[in-house]
Amino acid sequence: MLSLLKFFVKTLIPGTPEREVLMMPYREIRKAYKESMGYIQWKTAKILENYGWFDEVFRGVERKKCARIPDLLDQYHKDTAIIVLETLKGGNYIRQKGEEVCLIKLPSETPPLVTSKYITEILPIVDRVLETLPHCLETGEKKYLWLKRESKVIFLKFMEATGYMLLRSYAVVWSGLNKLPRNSTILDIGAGMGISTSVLLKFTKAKVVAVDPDSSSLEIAKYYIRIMDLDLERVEFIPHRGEDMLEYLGDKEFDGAFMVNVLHWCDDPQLLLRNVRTLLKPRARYCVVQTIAPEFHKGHIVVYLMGAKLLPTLDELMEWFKGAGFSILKKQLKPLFPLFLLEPE
Amino acid sequence: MSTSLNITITCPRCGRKHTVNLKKLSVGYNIIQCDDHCILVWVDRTGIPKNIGTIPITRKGDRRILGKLELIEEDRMLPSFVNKSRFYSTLRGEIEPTDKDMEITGLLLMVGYFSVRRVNNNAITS
Repeated sequence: MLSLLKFFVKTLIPGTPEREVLMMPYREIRKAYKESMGYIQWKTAKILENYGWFDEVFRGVERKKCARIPDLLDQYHKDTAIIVLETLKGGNYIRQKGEEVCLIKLPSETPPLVTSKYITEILPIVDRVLETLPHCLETGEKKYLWLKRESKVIFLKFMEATGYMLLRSYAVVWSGLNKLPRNSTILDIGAGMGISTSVLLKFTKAKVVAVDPDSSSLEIAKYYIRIMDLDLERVEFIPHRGEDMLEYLGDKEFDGAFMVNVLHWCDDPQLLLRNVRTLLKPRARYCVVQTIAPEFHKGHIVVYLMGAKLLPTLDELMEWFKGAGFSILKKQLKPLFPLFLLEPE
Repeated sequence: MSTSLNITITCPRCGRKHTVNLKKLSVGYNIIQCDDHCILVWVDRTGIPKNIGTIPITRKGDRRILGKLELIEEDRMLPSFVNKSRFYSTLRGEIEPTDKDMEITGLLLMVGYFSVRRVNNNAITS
């Protein structure tokens, strides 16, 4: 509550990053967040209803349509079942009591009203990806895995969505990466198709080293950066996993690092964090934007179906940061996605 | 077939020359496979090639490929940086694309917005 109050006070002060978010219409972003959650939860419930999942799971006695969670986790692909339950709980379609979940309501015939321009932009992605849910629930297979060619259209549309771009821009300003001098270098981890790289190029004067395991995405990034009229000469591309990057970057030192919702895509997030720690100069700034469980599991199902893993809890994340040798200079858990500014210990 | 119907397209990236039968080029965007990359050729409504760029993708199979780009994605899936009316006009061969338009098309091709409808391979010699 106190952090929310501080945030709003700072939106009144010219020159603060909070003020800049307000100028980027912050209230519209909050509305977008709520509407996106509501739509994702409704769509999840609707697809499962059409698939007959509710009838199959909640076929108990007439007055008590409940199911045991351990049975569901056994019967269906475990992680997918977990994320489905979180999503349905978030939308108040089911309620959890101990080891049981009970059906509260079925989804309405018509979708919830979505008026935010930021969300109408991403509805086609939500619709397309969630159609793959029943198959994933049964088998654990994900059709739109991020490395597949047919997923790139979805990824590009999702990653460059206007609201997400504003969030990245805010994170750069909030973390102070924009104040780094011209001769500094920022490590961009999980650069993908160059969306975060572009934000760094736009808001900072630094050089950027963009790391991503998908070389075809980095080829696309070069085009994207040129199309955005940004200076490609300031970027070096490293087509490797963050977990392996020491092998390719071991002789370099960085003044800053930037990472937006990357940890839940990693095979070994703790190793990745340790690698970043090794590459940073003593007083470097490391900005991490990272959604966390349980709050963000309510809408995480779309990226989960695209190959992301379950989200870490805040406690896990703090442990990972500490274990990798970082101290927290500041953090902001609300009202946007959680933001962390780290410094090597 | 008259030789006057053939033109030579020089790859802006590597300098390789490709002889293409003009009649086989389609209005809008065409691609020609060239070594480990593709040449993007834009043709106006009179059938004249006007703008040429390259894309770093390799298509599987025969290297002598000439094809027309066909948009296979929904309009609402186009990224926000695409000026839709301009984009569709260039696809129809109505507006000559700038270098930036060519780059946008190259990016969309790499991402998977287009399929390539192949033209008979006799239309090209490399």
